[in-house]
Amino acid sequence: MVLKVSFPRWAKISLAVIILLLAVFIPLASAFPDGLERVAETLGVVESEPVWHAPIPDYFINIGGDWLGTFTAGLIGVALTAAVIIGVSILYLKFKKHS
Amino acid sequence: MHIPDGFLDAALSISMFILAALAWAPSFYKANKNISEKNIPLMAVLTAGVFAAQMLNFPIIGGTSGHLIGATLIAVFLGPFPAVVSLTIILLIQGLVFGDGGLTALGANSFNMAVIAVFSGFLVYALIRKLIPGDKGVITGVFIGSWISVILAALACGLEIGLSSIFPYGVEVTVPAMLFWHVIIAFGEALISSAIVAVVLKTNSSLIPPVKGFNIVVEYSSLK
Repeated sequence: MVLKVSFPRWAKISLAVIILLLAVFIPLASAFPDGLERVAETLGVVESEPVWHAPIPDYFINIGGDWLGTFTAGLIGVALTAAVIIGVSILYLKFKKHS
Repeated sequence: MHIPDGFLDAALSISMFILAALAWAPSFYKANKNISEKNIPLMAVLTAGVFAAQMLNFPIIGGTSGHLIGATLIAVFLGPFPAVVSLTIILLIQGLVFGDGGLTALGANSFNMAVIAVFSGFLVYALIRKLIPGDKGVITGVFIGSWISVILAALACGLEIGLSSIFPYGVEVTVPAMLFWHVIIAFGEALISSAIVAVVLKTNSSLIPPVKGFNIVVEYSSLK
């Protein structure tokens, strides 16, 4: 079985726009606590030590510079997310063809 | 709205995994119908885009921020069942790689953002498209659907932390507190989601399929 997954023009443009928006909005993003963090703070509840030590905590890699560190983490996340989705979709298609 | 480790007690964490699983199983199964070779690029781009958007918090009032969930947005393009798959994968990557959202709370976070937000947002979107024809119905549906999806996810999250023995206050405190901030954050979600859909309607409207029952019309996608 040959799977043909090709990325059409609109998909490439969209991906480029996503990366561009990420680059532009990183310095503009708010560092304030989000709604849930704010509620927990107000009620005096603190996060415990996480049960798992994530390799890139807080979307930041220390490679010199706040923007670069966050942007690199974001690029890794975007690429990883797209790759996992493509992988899972291919599994779905294989499952479909067998059933 | 990502619950970290240490907010939910063990019993609640496990209960939420069970509740999430009850929605995961049929959703993962039903997603099969919507996933085809043609829409893999769309699913990949949308999910990666929502991942990126979730990184970027927008400020609201009173030193608080919020970010897009994207549940309604993804469901509009792919249908609700693949949207559950997409959002669950985002939450898994955020928890495993970026330490956003505790792994012990993955059941709760998935239930809130990948199940409640997806199904409520899509249901409202589908109903509004029935009431208002054309592009106006699509944009209105996305706006109101997104708004409600965040509020209901926040309601679920408020109930969970209120029921957790770790929080010193009950649901009578946690639910109003969560709703207070998220009624506002939900406007951000509604504005961003409807703006994206409006741009797509103008540039490549074939990406937005009609709705039939509680799903999109799968065969519609004339993706080029």
